[in-house]
Order: sequence, then C-alpha cells, then structure tokens
Amino acid sequence: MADLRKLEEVEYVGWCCTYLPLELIEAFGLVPYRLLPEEESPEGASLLDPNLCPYVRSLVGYIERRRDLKGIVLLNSCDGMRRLFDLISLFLRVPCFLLDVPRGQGPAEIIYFRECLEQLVLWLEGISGRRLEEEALLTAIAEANETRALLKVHMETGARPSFIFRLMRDSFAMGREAFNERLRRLPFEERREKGKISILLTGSLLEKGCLVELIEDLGVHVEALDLCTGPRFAERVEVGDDPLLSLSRAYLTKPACARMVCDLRESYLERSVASVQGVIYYAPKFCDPYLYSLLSLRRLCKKEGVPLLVLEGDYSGRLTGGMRTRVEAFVERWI
Amino acid sequence: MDLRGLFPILRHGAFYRLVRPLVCLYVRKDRNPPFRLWVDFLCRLLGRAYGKEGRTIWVNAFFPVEIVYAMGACPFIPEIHASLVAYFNLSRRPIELGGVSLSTDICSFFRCAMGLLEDGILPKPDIVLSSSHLCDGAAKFFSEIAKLVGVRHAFLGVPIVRVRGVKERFARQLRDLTFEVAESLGLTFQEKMLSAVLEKARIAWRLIREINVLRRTRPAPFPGSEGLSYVAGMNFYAMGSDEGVRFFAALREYVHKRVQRKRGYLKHERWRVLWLHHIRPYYPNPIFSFLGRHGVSVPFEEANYLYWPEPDPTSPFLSIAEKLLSNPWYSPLADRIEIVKKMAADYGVHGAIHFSHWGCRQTSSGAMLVGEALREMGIRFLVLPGDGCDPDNFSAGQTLTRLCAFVESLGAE
Repeated sequence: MADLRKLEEVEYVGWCCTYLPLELIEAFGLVPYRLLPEEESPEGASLLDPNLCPYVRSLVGYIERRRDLKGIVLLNSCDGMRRLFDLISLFLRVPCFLLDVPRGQGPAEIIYFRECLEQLVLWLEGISGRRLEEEALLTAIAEANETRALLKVHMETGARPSFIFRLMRDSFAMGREAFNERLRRLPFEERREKGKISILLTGSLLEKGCLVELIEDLGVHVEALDLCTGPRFAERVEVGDDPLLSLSRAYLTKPACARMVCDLRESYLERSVASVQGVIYYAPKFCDPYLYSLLSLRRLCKKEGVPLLVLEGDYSGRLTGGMRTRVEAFVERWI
Repeated sequence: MDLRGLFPILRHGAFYRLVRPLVCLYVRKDRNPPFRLWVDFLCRLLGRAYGKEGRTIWVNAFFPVEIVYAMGACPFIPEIHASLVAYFNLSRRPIELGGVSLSTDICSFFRCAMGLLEDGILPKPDIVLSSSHLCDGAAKFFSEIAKLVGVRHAFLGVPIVRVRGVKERFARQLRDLTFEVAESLGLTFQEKMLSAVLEKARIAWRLIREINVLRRTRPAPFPGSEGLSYVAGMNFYAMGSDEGVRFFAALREYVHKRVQRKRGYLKHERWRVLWLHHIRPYYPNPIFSFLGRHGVSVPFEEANYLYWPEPDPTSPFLSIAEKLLSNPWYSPLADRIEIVKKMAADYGVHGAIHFSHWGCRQTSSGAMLVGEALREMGIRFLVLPGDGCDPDNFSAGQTLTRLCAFVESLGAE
C-alpha cells in the first residue's frame, strides 16, 4: 500500500489524542496523520518546562520541521497538550485547533462536546476551503465503523497483541480507504493457544511495540492493550439525526483513558485486573493523569493479589536494558 | 519536629477553639489586623472541621467555596493546608510519606496533602468536590483521595471553550450539582441562600478591587510575599463568608493607611517586580528578604488578580459560572499573557519573576512564553525553578545566585 506521506496532493491534519473523531477530518477530504515523532527535539526542551512529558516536548521540533501539515488538532487531554497548543499558536506558523474534551461522560458533557465539535467543523472549513457535506460525513463514519469492525474481528480471532499494535501504528499514517483495504485483505492469524499467564498492559503512550513483543517472547499473553496507541477506540458510531451528537456520544463513552473522571474506567480496570495474573503499567515520564491513577491501580492489584510492574519511558522508543531486565524479572515469577 | 505525638490534640476541634484567642492575642503584636483575621478564620475553620460541627467538604483551591458556604457546610482545601504545614517547616515528613503512594514527579502540595491524609491528620470529609481547574491534579488527585477516604467524589468539569450556550448550560450543571450534593448530605439548600452568600462575595470583590488599585501606589504599600500567603489563602477560602468580608475590609483599611502615610513596605524601593504563579516557597527561605535588601519590591502578585466580573446575587449560578469560565489560567495562554501584561503596566514593574514550582506543569510550561511577551515590553524576566512545599527540593545557593543576577540586570537598565 502506498505510504501517503509520499503523495504530494494529500492534505494532512496532524492529531495526537484518540478522543478526536477522525471522521470529521476525513469528511473534508483531509487525511488525519497521527503525530508520533521518532525522538525528542531540542526545541521542545528550550521552550517548554523540562519537567514535562517527553512526548509533548518531542512534538515541538517535529511540528516545526513538518511542512506538509494543513493544520493540527490538539485536545485538552492533559496540561502538556494545552501548553503545546499555546506554543504552536504563539510561535509556530501552523494552524492549530484546541478541542476541549470533557472529563465526564454524562448528558451535559456529551452536548458540550458536540458543540465543541461544531467549532472544529468551522475551523476545518476554514483551513480546507470546503464546506462540510453531511453525505461525506456519513460516509466517513461508515468507513470508520468498518475499520473498527475489522480490527475487532482480527483481535477476537486471536491476532497477537503485538500484531494489533503494529496495525494500529500503521493506521496512523495511512488513509482510511487504504487501511480498510489492507484489513480486508489481511489473513486472519491462527488462533494461538494463550499461554498460561495473561497480563494487562495498561498506560498511556507506548511509542513502539518492542515492549509488547518482549512480553510475548517471554511466553506471556497480553490479554489487553489498554494504551493510547492501542485499540482504545469507540465501538461503533450509531448515527442518529444529528451526526455530530452521535460522534460526541460514541467518542466520549469509548473505553476511557485515565484523564477521565468517571466510573467507566474504574469498572473496566476492575474487570480486567480480575481476569489476569499480572499488570504492567507503562507511561512516559511526567504523565500526570496516569501517575495519579496509579493510586487506585495499586490498590486494585493488591486487592486482587495481582502483581504490578510500573515502567516509565522517556519517549525514545527504545526498550532500555534496565526495563528489559525488570520485565524479565517480573515474568520469572511464573516460569 | 515530629508532630505525631500531638496528633490526638490537633485532631480535636476544641483545641482550635481554645488556642484561637491566644494565637490572635499573640499576633496582635504585629499590628497587622488582616493577618490576625486570617489566623482567626483558620482557627474557626479547623475548629469546625475537626469538631464535626456540620458537614465538611473537601474542595480544590479553585472550586467555588461560595457554594459550600451556601449549603451551610465547612470547606476544607488540602492544598492550602499543605502550604500551612510548609509555613511551619513541617512538610518534610508528610511529603516523604505521600511520596510512597504518589510519584515524586507530582506536585509536592499534593504529596504533602496525601501524607497528611495517610497520617490521619486531616479532618475526614463528608464528600469531596473538585473542579477541573487548574490542572490534571485537581481532577485526578481528588478523585483518588475520595476513593481512599471512602467518600463520594463529585466532579465539576469546567469548559475551556466558550461555545454557544456554554455559560447557561454550565450554570445549570452547577445548580444541579449543588442541589444534589446538598440533598445527599442532608443539608437544606435554597437558591436564595447562595444569593445571600454572593452578596457577601460582591462586597469582598469590591474591596479586593480597591485594594488592588491601592497597591499600584509607589512605594509598594503591601508586600507580595504576604499577598501570596494569607491574602491568596483568604481569596481561595473565604469568598462569600462573613470572615471574608471582614478580612478584605481590614486589608483595605490597612493598605489605605499605608498609602495615605506614603509608607512603602520597604525602606528604600529601587525596583518593582511582579511575582508570577499562585504560590511561593512557603517554608522559611531567603527569597523575599534578599529582594528587600536590594530594594526590589514585589508590589503585586498574579495570584490576587481579580479575573472574574462582579458577582451578581440576583443570578447566583450564572454568576459563579461566569467566574469559573473567566479563569485565565484555565484558558489558552494568550489570555494569561494579556493579564500579565496588564498587571506589568498597572503596577509599573521593571521585572517579573516566574516561580516554576516542581511538578506544576500547566503553569511552568507556559513560563517561557509569558517571558517572551514581557521582554517585548522591555520587562526583565526570570524563571525561578523551585518547590513551594518541599524544603528539600530547594537550593538556597542556586536560587540566590539567580536572583542576584536578576537584580543586577535590573540595575543595568
């Protein structure tokens, strides 16, 4: 499949957080491109506080060097992302939109998020020079639903989590149509026998799949990839009279990230932790929503008698020797 | 000093009722009526909270306490108590204890509050309420400690964007939350009670406005170090209370007298510097004495900027919604930059010090951007890394070296 980065006529809109309904971008004929820099940039270190998420700091230089972005949509997912928006707005010459995503999932929040999505539509109209056509939006939603359904089938038929992780990563740089085509043609992996040991891999941004691969290579099954770069997507968007409201509802009520203040995440973790033998937590350093959430995760693991391994990354994509040793030592208890 | 031996006494409401007149008598010697009122307020509050005189509601610093007062409950702000503990140089142990549960990368005020909680020193809440501003901690920390304490956490998500109808919807959310919380706590609440509270908040607001104008005078009549401690404390804690009105009236009188006598708080003021961020190191430290010795006054601090419009008791929920939506520190940084530039001009400052508290990502990450805007105005700017609550994360030598260079740069103009 062609890597769309090489096609000049493609108009990209950068994004970072999975609470963004990509369908809206696609409905304008724009291509969402998830911003995942390869390494930390020195520009980020000088303009932002050094005690800030390394992913956010990496984005500064990366965005500055990208000349192919029509615009960027950032979400109010955390303090770091808010400040990144400020820096881009004030210093970098890239049109940027800040989409406020509520931390709750109630009716008032869904309506508010819908209003915010309407603002996003206006912004997209501005940068694309096109109007939003309802037909195009419904088509985008249908195609996105197909992606979700195909991914779900692959996950349920036993595809390795590292494979799913790689698939997700590939999708970030591919157009929807191309990705769906790829999913349709992809053979289903044979259902593998799960190892005796299952673990939950939970956290925020895992930049590369080497941690997942390491865990699998050690003979442990990753029961769920509860990560921002994993399959934490909306089940399906059920379109009603108001497609924006439908998008708002579907995205706000999808499997919750730790920045949300809701019971949904709590109950998901309770179910997940109860069904595994161990939990590995991974987040980049200074990821506050996940650092605070560790409190209840630790309590939950203690209650279930499930061991917990906490890993912090530096957004280098490398699995350090120390991290590798800790994972191996963690898994050894079951060998 | 280890306070654990005193915990049984410190957890007794009667202790605060007993010490209140003694402490107030003691601080009378400073001839600072507002400070005495602050001490009095704290003793009353702690007496109420520990003495279980009615319901105690934990809130975060920017949560509208007006609502708590209107319900007839007692607000308790863990972050403020962490700063108090730091003020008495007693924060090391709770921070260490809190650091076992919470990462050391997290704000030390929250770690200190966690440690105080785990030591059992904080009064047990009946419910925890928090709003989303200013930071991830405001949402997540309170959510987590509510689970730890075993009480309900009710969260108020403040919209960051002014979309169509947001104020009215948010006011309705506030209203529903207030009635629901009052009912769950068995408290009687009527909207007219909030109106009565807002009437007091309006009086306090007008007094603050006067005080802030008086503080523009040269030489600076009131020190920023005190603005950052008990004035900010009352701002967070006492809006809508009788004590709040008395305090701000006394402060206004105090500042007005100094202005009339043309008395600056420094003997000789050479330079004026704005303090940016809501906090300062609260444990004993040489920052402000150093600045004072070099003739650098801090006439005003960002923490006490009056960012919200005059409260309107006739539409109490709308008024509080407007207050929360107006918070410039929970908006795009451009809003904060505008008010900083305004303060710099209003207070005629030569420089600004941005205190970048460890773990405070939402403020510290905007520091360089704020600095760029001030430099364009010809205002010297210093980012001063530090820790507001943890004395072990403070280096006097490094801090003074930076301040020394900064003061020299002021003199170089």
